[in-house]
Amino acid sequence: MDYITGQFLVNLLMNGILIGLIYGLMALGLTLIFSVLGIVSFAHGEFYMIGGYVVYYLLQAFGNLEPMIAILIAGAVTFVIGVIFELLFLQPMGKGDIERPGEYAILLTFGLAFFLQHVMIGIVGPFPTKVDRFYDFAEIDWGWLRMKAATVWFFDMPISSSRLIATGVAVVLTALMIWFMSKTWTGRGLQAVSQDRQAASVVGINPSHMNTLAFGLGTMLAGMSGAALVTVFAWVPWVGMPASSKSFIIIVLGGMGSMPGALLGGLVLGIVESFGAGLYPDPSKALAYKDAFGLLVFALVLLVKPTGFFGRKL
Amino acid sequence: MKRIPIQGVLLVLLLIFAFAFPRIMQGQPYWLYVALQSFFWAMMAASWALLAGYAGQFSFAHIAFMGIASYTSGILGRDLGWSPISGIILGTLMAGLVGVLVGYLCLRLRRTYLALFTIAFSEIVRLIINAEHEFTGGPMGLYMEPLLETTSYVPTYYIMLVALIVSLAIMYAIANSRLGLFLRSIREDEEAAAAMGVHVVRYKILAFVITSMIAGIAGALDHHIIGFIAPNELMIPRMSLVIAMAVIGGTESLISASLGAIFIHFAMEWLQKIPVPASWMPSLRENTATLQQFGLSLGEGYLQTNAWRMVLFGLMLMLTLRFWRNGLIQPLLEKIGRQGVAEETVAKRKFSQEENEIEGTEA
Amino acid sequence: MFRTKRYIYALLILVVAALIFAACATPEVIEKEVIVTVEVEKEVEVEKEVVVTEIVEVEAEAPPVGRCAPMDAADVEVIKIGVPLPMSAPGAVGGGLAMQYAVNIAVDQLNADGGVLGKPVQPVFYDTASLPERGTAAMEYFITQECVVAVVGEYHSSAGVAEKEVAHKYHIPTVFAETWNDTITGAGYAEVFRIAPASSMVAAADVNYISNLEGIEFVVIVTENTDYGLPAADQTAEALATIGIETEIYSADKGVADYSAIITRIQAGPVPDIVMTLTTGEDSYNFENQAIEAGLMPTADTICIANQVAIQPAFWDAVPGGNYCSFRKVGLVPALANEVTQTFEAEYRKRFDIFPESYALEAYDAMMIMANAIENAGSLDPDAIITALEATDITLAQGRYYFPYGSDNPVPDDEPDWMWHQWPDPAVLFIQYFEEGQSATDAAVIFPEVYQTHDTFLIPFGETP
Repeated sequence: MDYITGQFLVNLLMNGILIGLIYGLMALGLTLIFSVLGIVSFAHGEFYMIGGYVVYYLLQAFGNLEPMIAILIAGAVTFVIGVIFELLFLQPMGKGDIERPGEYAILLTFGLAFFLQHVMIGIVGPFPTKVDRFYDFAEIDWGWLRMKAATVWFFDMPISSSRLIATGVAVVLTALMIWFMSKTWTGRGLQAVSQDRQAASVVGINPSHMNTLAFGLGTMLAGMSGAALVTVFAWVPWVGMPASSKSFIIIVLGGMGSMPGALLGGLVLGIVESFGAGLYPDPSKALAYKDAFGLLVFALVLLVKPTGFFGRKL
Repeated sequence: MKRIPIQGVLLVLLLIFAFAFPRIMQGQPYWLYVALQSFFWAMMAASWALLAGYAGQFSFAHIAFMGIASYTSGILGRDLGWSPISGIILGTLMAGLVGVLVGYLCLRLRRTYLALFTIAFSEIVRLIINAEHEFTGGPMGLYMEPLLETTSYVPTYYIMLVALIVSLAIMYAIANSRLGLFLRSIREDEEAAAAMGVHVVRYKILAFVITSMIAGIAGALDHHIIGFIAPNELMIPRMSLVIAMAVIGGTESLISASLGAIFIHFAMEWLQKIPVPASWMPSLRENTATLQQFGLSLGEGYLQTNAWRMVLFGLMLMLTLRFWRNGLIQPLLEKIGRQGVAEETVAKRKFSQEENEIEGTEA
Repeated sequence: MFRTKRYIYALLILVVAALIFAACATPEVIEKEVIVTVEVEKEVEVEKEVVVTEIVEVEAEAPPVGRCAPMDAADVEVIKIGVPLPMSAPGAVGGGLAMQYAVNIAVDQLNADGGVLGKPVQPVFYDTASLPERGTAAMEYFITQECVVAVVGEYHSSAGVAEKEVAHKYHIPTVFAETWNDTITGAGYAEVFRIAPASSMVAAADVNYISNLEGIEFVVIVTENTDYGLPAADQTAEALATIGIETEIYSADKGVADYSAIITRIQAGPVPDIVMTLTTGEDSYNFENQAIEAGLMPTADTICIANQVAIQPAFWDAVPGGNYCSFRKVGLVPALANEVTQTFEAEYRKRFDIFPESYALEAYDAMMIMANAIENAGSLDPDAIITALEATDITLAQGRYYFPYGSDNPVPDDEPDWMWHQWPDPAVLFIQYFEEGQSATDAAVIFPEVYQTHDTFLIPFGETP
């Protein structure tokens, strides 16, 4: 236990915050889908996976492509796949044909996840790939802040630069989404549908169009987060499964359907996992239980306050 | 009952076929083995259908109960030398006990929240079994004492078949008793059921206990037959397979859910390779290299599609849900049984009758 | 309510009838089995008219009903060999597909050279998804439906332990390629061979290498908690303890993408002399990259031993700062790479464009060993094939294969049980990068001493040899 010092705890907290923002980015799309359609998409991680592969192959084909454009293209690709899926399979739900839409959607998206994952295994093969960090940092040494291409030392605390870029993308995307939802007509329409479908259709918003749009935007966000995170993690066709389960935890923690909640839920999850794995007494099992710490908190929150931190009453 | 429903006749024929199967498949231990495994899945799918289809509790914890019972029995056998039979009994009770706990915790959770909570529960169980390898064998797996000292699958086939029939009979009795009625009323509208005097808490927990015990006994029996268990079997994709089986069969009826499971299990075997017409063979043979690139391998008159059958499976699940919401097998059964009285209508009529009775007594 | 009760009664009667039926049916089938045994006896009598002792043997070991493997190559069009592999979750799909491709390459080469015993070889694949139940099904399928004469392959021990039982039951020669569990050969079945290096052998080689380095006192092992990682880590730690080196093991679930908490924890403790990665695939890349970015390894104080997948060019995409990391390679030295390895690698690269993983090499070798044994046996008789397998002496992609302990030479008491039918000495090399983006063939061989390219066991951090 002698390794536990103030510096160690601060490092754990910092790690937790960084990975937490990254988790928040993963969950951003899912929370939009939940708020408008009222469903949880099990295929969320697969869109995330596809987004990463789109960037990988784009950068393979056009080496000097601006990475941010590649991220946008990845978002466009997953948007299109998401919209097609919504139109083909989820439309009857909006029409009220389905008795229990929540369960119907879980099963359907599970089938989709299975389908996408195995198709990708067939196409791209099973071996890990990865994209190098989008930008190299300049070399700086100011004492409290040292920078190298791959790492930033902030008061002697090492921070991966690819993570820093990814968290930057996370914050920007969240801010954009919050702006979009509150300031544009379409965004307000989405919010209106998520609050009261009937009232929204009375004032001239077509809820079924809004469903399609929300699902597409959700999968687009998933694709873009994958596109940003393919620089942080090694990529394989089944990389989406853990991302999905992390996203479920986050949207429940943050309150289903709340955008800032997703980031906060991500932060909580990141910090819990970081401290759990850092402080669990038996080192050989600390990391083996890392996912369990998050799941435990998740289960407790579900039992005590199912609406999460930011969620409205359902 | 005035007339013999065609479904009854079908059921008897099916049973006779099931019991005669080892005789028909003499010298085909492979198909016997596949069949006995399919009964395990049928028990899982049917008990899940009772929990989700009848009681409306969309739970992912089923596979965890299966694992808890199997591991209890396996560890008792390893450390205390318990016989498989007593191990299975205690394992089943253990699954029931945990079922009480999970059922209790899930009381307030509905729909999506329930699904997410039970996923978390299953994953925690799996992670613990995986991590505590000094006790559970961890990823190296746990040897389970074989149920019978025989290499023939005939006796084990009958054991699984009888276990399936008995559990189906028990669940059928429950589903068609007052208890089943209460469960369905909870599914339709919990508040209304409570207002009508249904003891929601008691019946919800009871549903969890009964179905998790059936999952437990299925798992413990099956793993004593296989002789080995590893934590990989508790992964969520395996649970989703159970759900998909029940859905493709039809969750509204126990028989269709179990037939769905048997059908899917056999289909997954058949789809390991698909026959190809002889006329295609030359052109396929020219493209062997391309086929191999995509994980397809060419055999004599067939194409090996081991990995790609999962793609088909995902597609089938999506299409079934989209276009045949009652499952594939249930409508089929109904169509055959239309001349008599369809199961669904009987259930509905009985439902409304008994509802009247209850209202009558309470008024 | 009344109607429901009638249903229950009807079902109960059916169940009782079923039980009676079951009770009656079982002995009948056993009777049938007995009859089959007699038939086998007769056949043998016709074939081998004089030798009475052999007939007694056959009677005792009469194979169960269902085994339909041909005994003579003249009876068949193609010689079928079963290949169980994981090709869907929860199995390691990557391993399964790579092995499938490797087996296909082996079969294509065999058939281009005229096949085995003059007949083409045909692999029959089956997805076992790492599950024991699927393993049993796979073997039953191969043996009773496809009439395979032999089985090669498998990646997961969990499926392998079930498969070996069925192989034993039907007396079908089997070469396991990548299953590590000791009990697979430890059971001592005549039919079961294994060419996967048992984890304790690799651990011994690792320790052998580390013992050559100076000033090593504390080693951190990061492993995956799978049937490969946990035993490997434990055995390495045990072996290191015998030479007085302290270890700390961190085990992680597969798919844990973020290792930062553990890296922080290692950095907060005493500085390790070596950080050794026993996670595989994408997980190893994730850990190595994060550890390097955090400045844990490689440094002047800490040696980086990466996982063997570091041999792939993708290593430099995934772990850009991985210079001066060394890694283990099981197989022949690049300088001594034989024609078999090179031809195989060229074929393999057509599909995946990476250096073949050890499991791909093993799958290829397993198929080749089996084909070689059948050819040498001169027939499809399982006993002849097993005898030929025990006499294996062939150099393939991973080195020279032979099985020192078998029926003629039982495992001595001072050797572990699992040495039965086990390939004993995989060549274990250590290779170290010393330039960023270097290809594995240009990297320095640092162990064993005889193959060293730069006359050193370790290129110190930051130096060029």
